[in-house]
Amino acid sequence: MNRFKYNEDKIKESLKHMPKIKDDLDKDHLYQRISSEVNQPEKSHTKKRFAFAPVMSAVIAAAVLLLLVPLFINDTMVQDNSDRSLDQALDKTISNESSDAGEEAGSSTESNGEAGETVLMTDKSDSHVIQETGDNDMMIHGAVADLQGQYIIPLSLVVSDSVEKEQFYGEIGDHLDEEAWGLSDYMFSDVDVQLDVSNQQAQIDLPEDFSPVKNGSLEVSLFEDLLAAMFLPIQVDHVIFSRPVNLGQIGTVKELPLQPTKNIYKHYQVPESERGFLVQVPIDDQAGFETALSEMKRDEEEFNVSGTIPESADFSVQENGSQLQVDFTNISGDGEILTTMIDAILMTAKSFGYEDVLFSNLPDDNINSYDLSAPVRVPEGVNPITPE
Amino acid sequence: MEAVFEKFYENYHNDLYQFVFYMVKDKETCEDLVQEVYIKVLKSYHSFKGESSEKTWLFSIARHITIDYFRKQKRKRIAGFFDWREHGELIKDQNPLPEEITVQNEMISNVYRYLDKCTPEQKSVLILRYIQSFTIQETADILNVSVSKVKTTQHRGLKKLQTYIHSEQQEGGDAE
Repeated sequence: MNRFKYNEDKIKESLKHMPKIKDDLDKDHLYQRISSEVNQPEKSHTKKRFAFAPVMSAVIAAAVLLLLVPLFINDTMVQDNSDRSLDQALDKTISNESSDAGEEAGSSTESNGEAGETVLMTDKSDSHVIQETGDNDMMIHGAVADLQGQYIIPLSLVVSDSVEKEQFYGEIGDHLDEEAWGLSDYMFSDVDVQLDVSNQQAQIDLPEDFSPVKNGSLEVSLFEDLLAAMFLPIQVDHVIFSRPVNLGQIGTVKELPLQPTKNIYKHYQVPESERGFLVQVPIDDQAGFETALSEMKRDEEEFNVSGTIPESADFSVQENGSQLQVDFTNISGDGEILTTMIDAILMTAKSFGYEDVLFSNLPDDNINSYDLSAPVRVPEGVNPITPE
Repeated sequence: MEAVFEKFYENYHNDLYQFVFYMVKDKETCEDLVQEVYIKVLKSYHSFKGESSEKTWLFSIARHITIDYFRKQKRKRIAGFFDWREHGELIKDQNPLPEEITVQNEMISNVYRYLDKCTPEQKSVLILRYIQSFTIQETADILNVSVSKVKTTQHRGLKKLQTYIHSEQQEGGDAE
């Protein structure tokens, strides 16, 4: 038995043998305190909320189904119907969307499959992007590394904008199944974040023992890139730490400027995983978009990364201000392959600073709800994560 | 109302108290939160449809209340960001170890102490799974997550405890 397994078993045994803590509560005294509270008239808003919760939840769920499909994935603590009324009374951050939103992003389309918005995540069962959030939503950008610590996998968590954004940065990891998906552990589970968007900075409260220097410089570089993936999308380009952080060769720092980099997007999926992700692959700052597209054809099997543009595809690129035109020839592939390609090209274009992409000469003008007869806006987020 | 209280108290009070205590590790806070749990139970028992067991339902309420408590504590801490050290001490396990823990072996004391290094979700899983002996499915039902999520969270929590205890052991070894 290896050392760690031995320690884990000892820890489990210790937990099982945690002693009973003496309960000093007197039963009758407890009941008196409880009954006086229960018998007190409730505050009207609480009572009203409580009394109408089941009806309100049904109404809101219907509204969401009809109008605001992205809200299916906005709840951070979506509950079954049987718990809904109780949860509303218990937790202000719980919204009353359908329990269908308890599925992961990749599979939520199977249960929802709503028509209407053509560019929303839930209409694109194979899509890796979120085109835009709904009016009452906001997006939390997270990031993890692949298992080998080679590339950054940006993540997008869509939640209701009625709650504080900051609380979700520490919670993203709770919505990931890193082991099943072949991801490194989310690095920021124990951090607190305070955003100061007007000053384009974030204040990060790290645990005392936090250190990105574990395997030498590799982790440090990842640390910076992870922060960049999380905060640059919201125009935060500077992070301040609650205490100095050892960044290896860089030294010990209390703040860190975040640098945007040009990335192409390829596909990452470990063999055992049920889902794949678009992964950021850095490319030279001077590289043009045609070079980027060529590079996107290349597989990197040793890192479980595959190209997102078919090897046989030819293309030409025209840049027109903030719009990119990509003209294909000799392109073929099924819906899933083409959707991933479009997703990856859009995200790459976004990384290069473009706002729209016009695709030409693809097999169909409508691929998995992308309307390719017009320029497609670059997505707001990538690799959607659905809170359970 | 009293009948409902009696039923829950007789059947589940000890387990409930232990769960809440190990989550918050402070008796006074534990008593307040246990009281809140009973209040919620009594106020909403009429809407309990019996789709889960009473125990699962009760612990689901308890879990919500403790997580809410942690969020409120966190908001207090974030609000006083530049004084976080001062407020941080309120969150960190500065309470003396309960007597029931101090008389145990060093490993148990360490595990107790380092439970606070886990996230509330990890702590919930570890307490439900190992201290309360719930099955993975029961834990998943209480937390309203998938079985797979319970396993992942459990693994991460155990790994975190391992890391801290291992460091503690290393330091102890170096000191010798």
